[in-house]
Amino acid sequence: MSLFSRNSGVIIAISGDDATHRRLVDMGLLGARYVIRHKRGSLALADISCGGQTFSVSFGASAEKLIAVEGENENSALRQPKRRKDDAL
Amino acid sequence: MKIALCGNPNVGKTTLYNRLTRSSEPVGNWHGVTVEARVKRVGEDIICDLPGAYSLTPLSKEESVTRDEILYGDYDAILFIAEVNNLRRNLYLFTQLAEAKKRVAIVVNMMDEARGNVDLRLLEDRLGVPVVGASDRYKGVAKSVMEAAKSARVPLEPSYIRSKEVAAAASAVENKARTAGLLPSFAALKLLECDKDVAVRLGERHCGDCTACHADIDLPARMRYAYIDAALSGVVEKTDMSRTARIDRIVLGKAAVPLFLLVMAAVFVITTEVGKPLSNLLLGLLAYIDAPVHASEMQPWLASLISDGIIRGVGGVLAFLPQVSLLFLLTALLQDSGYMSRVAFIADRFFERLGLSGRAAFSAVLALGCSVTSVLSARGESSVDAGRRTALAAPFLPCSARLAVFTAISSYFSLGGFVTAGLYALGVTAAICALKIMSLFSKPAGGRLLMEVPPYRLPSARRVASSVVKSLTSFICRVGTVVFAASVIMWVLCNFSVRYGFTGGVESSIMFTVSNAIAPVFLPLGFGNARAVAALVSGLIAKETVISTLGALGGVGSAFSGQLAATSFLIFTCLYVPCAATLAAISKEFGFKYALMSVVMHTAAAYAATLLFYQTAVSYTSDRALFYTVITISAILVVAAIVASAIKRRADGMKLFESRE
Repeated sequence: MSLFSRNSGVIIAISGDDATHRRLVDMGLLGARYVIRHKRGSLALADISCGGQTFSVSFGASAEKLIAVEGENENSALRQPKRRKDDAL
Repeated sequence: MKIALCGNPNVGKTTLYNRLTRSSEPVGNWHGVTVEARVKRVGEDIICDLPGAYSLTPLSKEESVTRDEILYGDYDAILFIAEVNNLRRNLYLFTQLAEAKKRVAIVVNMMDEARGNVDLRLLEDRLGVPVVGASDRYKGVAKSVMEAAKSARVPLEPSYIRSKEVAAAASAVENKARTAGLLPSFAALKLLECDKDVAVRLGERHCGDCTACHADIDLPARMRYAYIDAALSGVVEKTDMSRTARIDRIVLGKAAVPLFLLVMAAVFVITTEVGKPLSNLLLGLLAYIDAPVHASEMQPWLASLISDGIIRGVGGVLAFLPQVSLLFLLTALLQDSGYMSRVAFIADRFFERLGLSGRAAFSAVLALGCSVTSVLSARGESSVDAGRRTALAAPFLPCSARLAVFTAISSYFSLGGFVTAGLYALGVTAAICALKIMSLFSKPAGGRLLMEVPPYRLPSARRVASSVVKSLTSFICRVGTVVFAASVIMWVLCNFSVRYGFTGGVESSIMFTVSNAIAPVFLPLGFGNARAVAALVSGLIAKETVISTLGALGGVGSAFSGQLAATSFLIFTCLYVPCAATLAAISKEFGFKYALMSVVMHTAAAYAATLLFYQTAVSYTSDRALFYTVITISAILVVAAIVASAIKRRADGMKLFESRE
């Protein structure tokens, strides 16, 4: 499942080129829990939690193709990034 | 003792560096403020502030600087700075320092913002290195941090280094690693995660596509995080992001764009309107100082130098210190609160249309203060190409020096605040047009994958004051050095003649003769006179000197025939060639070719925009000018159509801004 199809879940796999993969793994995203707080255009602002600590990250649209997740609760309002309308979650 | 400060981006390394060295290097609540190593001696110690890095496998220029300094630099101790609310992620870099067996002390920063209890003693026991807590609001931090640095130790060996995978890989490369000056276990872990630099150093093959060919490229990361999780167990309480989430609900909600525009408008209004009475006070003070100089019986040339060259030149620029100070203060408050990082999120969609990422919003806001810092910050863009385009377009946005010119001339001619606002709008429009045209020649920025957004925090008086003092010091230093020198040189050029020496009159001066020769070029723009041209020439050194030169040449009033000519001059000043320091920064960062491109682009844009404005305006006031106006506008439209057509034809095939990521 892709990152933007759910508003929360666990990141289970990261693909992409070496540099991208390295960056995301180095940031501790693998195995981390995420909760998308806001979406704007093709961006999503998410809280990433792991080991009891949380930090915020804004994901671009290209992240959707690279990050595989295991969802918790599907949210139809967040199924795809919107191009026109802003919506705070 | 030689000490390096390292850690992830945006953990407060530079803030700590400033406290340890009593410096005032720029800080900000976002990543990528430091882009190169800074070194300062404090007593017998040498302290080095390194750019932020997530790992010793670098992915950017700044991270390469940090990796090289840590692995191959001769530091006696490394002060590893971590943020209390991001210890897990921050310690990932620490594990690599432990793998490389570097002498480390840990500073857990922002302790006052901890979202729960943190047991630093337990962490110290588990990692085997000194750990001290620090905060911007704590007293005596510098002393405790330096004590920790002096007792830095090699960390306890992480358990995973003895795992069979690492041990096997280490024994396979042992000889090569020792020859390359690396520890076998460190080199083995780097090879397991496909580090290109280490592979090259060890003479190993690097496929360039490790995610496709390597069996388990994530093994070292998983082992490191498992080790960190074990080390942090019981050390930190669960973090709470509810305050940041609550604020974000408003700031990033449906009102995000209006709120952003409101904030920017407030910055602009406060800067210009609140600063104006204070500026007037300073101008009155200058007149008060100037009067006795004229009344004195000193040599005429000396009185002229002090009055026209120094008091009117340097003092005329210093009179705008209140506006500039307010701009620096408000920018620092926004930066420190964490709002500026949200601006990138809010602005991403807008910049995407211009072929950039939201990160360019930082450079844009910095450009309102100083184009040089804006050009340097463009280095943090996702690609060299995106950085170049940002650096070329950012100087179109009026910097604080241009604000001083706008305020001085528009106040003199009673042009009203809307002219200054209009000039800002013009600068923004020019930057947008430049980015749009440049985006036709290049690939869109690919850096929209991920960006860290810091939590909100109450701006710290110390950090804000430090940032404002740094910016103001730089501004005053420029006035005291560049503007002073330029004012004196301009005074000499404006008051001396080759044949008669000191004349005290502008009309026979060297500058007047030279500017007179160039002036006809500016006749169609409405200010084709030697005084205005001389001011523009001096502005190439620093924009503040435009006012000082006008002052030395008999005052702002003598250079322009009226409001229209003054407005025309302001439009040209708003867009024309950036100052020498900005051009030097572009040349240093991206090459001389791009500095030259900046000169051509800004001159062409300034001339075209001013010509269009002046000729159109004149056509409303003079029947005689109508014919010429129609001809001029038609010529501009024809040239624009030819250029647009050429751009369109060549956009697909030509790569003017080559990507080198």
